[in-house]
Amino acid sequence: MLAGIRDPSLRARGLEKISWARRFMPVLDTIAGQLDLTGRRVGLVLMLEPKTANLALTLRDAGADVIVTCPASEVADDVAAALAHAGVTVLARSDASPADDRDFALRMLREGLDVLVDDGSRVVRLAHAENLLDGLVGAAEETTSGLRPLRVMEDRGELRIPVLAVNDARSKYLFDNVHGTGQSCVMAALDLTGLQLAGEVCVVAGYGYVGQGVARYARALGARVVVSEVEPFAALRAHHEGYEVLPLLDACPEAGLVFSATGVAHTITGEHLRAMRPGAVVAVAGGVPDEVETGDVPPGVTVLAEGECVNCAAAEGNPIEIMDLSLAVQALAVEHLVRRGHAMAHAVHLMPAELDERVARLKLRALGIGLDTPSARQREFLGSGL
Amino acid sequence: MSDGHRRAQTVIQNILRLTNLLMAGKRVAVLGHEPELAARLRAMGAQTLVTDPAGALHGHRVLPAERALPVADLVVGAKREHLGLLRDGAILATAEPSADLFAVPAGTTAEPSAELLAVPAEPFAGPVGTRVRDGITAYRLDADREVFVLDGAYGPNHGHEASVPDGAYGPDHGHEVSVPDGAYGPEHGREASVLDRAC
Repeated sequence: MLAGIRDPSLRARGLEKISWARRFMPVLDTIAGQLDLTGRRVGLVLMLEPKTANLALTLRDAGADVIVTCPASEVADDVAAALAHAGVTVLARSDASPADDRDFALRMLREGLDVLVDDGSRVVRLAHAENLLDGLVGAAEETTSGLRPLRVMEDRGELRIPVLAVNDARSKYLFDNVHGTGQSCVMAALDLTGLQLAGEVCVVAGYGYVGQGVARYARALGARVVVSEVEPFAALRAHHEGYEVLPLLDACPEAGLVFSATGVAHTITGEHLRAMRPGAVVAVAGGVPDEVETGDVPPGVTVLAEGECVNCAAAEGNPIEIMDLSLAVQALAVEHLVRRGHAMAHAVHLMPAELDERVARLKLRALGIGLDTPSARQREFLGSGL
Repeated sequence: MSDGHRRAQTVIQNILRLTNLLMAGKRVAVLGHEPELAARLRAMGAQTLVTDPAGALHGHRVLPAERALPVADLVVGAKREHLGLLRDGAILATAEPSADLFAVPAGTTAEPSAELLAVPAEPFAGPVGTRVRDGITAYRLDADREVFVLDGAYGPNHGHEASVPDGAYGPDHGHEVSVPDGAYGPEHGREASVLDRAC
């Protein structure tokens, strides 16, 4: 059987990265002291890097037995080594084949988890398909694209555990999807290509939260941004925020850099790729498999990271401060499932608003940002119903 | 495209790649005349602090360096004379190698003068940095303050394609990095050209 990690000797370097990240994770740090997961077994399926390692350590410190797995393309072997040394079970290595990755996920599920934290709902779906749900109280899902299939399963009556939609917490999507994925995907594309954005045309397919962030950061660095949408309100929103809105095929010929930010397969097709000029670069922000049809890329056009989410596959993922928020929500979701999961319907549930707000308030406190309190006269106005 | 625009993007790329941090909401002091860089940082959501009064017309906060540095999370273009003013945890993108920033200048005694450093001389008697991550060295200024210096984020290599520092870590990695006295050769110690160049 394949060893869980690739190279234990990398742990010192991994520990350094984990410690650097921890300096910028005040919210998770605060929550860490307030959790009790004694005797619980928690499975984490998140991109294995320094920030998520801090979530694993936080859950371990709260008394949980933590198992981490992750597809090969998203594994930092040094971080994996540091976590393994710290007493976390790690089943993730950068040289694993897709079959190994699946085997790792199955091994994790067979350990008998109380709670599963998933990214893309791959392992939640695997657990359903392989009938490995015994004892699983519930799962927390990190992403928009992971929640979509779970909601389809719920509608069909096929979902057999409660799922907390961590992605849909405001502390998560308002910042992680917009600023985290936005900044990091734009920067990863520039790091990989050496492209100078000033004066360049950047096309963003999809103007959801991720697309809004990508557009914002591309514009910040001097690009002229063109947005493509299928949804009328999103298109109008992009228009009002000052972006040119065009059908994707019409936008392609001018583009120096094209982002797919739809989270929908077959967004950028062979026809789009053929409409691009030589030198054009295509990247996926967020992302699902086959978002870019990479089977037939014309010469001169480059698809970054083989069409996987560019900031995860080719850089260090989202910025640390952003993941502090998202992973704090994850930590609270794990505890909520442990406490309440048994009584929750087999459905996709929103994070309880008070937990969501707790994360936002802790972040404001860490930043030293104060809030106003509504005055008596304001409360009276609000209470009057006008 | 102007040098200033090219440098602006490159500096931002370097900072974010080396630190894995978010620019939005950071208080960033931009020292020297770098209008394109300041504008890009502001557009990315940074709260920019500049010394040039004209910066106010571009949405920057205008402050003298001695008031900007104590509140800055990130300082672009920091030099030796700024060390005494930095806050704990400040991140520095410097125009000179960190060795230059902290080392005893050539031709002086091993005991750096307070006037040169504008900080208590003692911590620099044996300036030693600790590598905390690829491309980031921590320097302890005094009991309460530690600052982080980014390798080459704003250095003489600016303007070139970003080199991803994979494998940049040599066998020394993980150990304390002692400042290589004079290791930089004759060019070492010259005034940073980047800051002085008009853009």
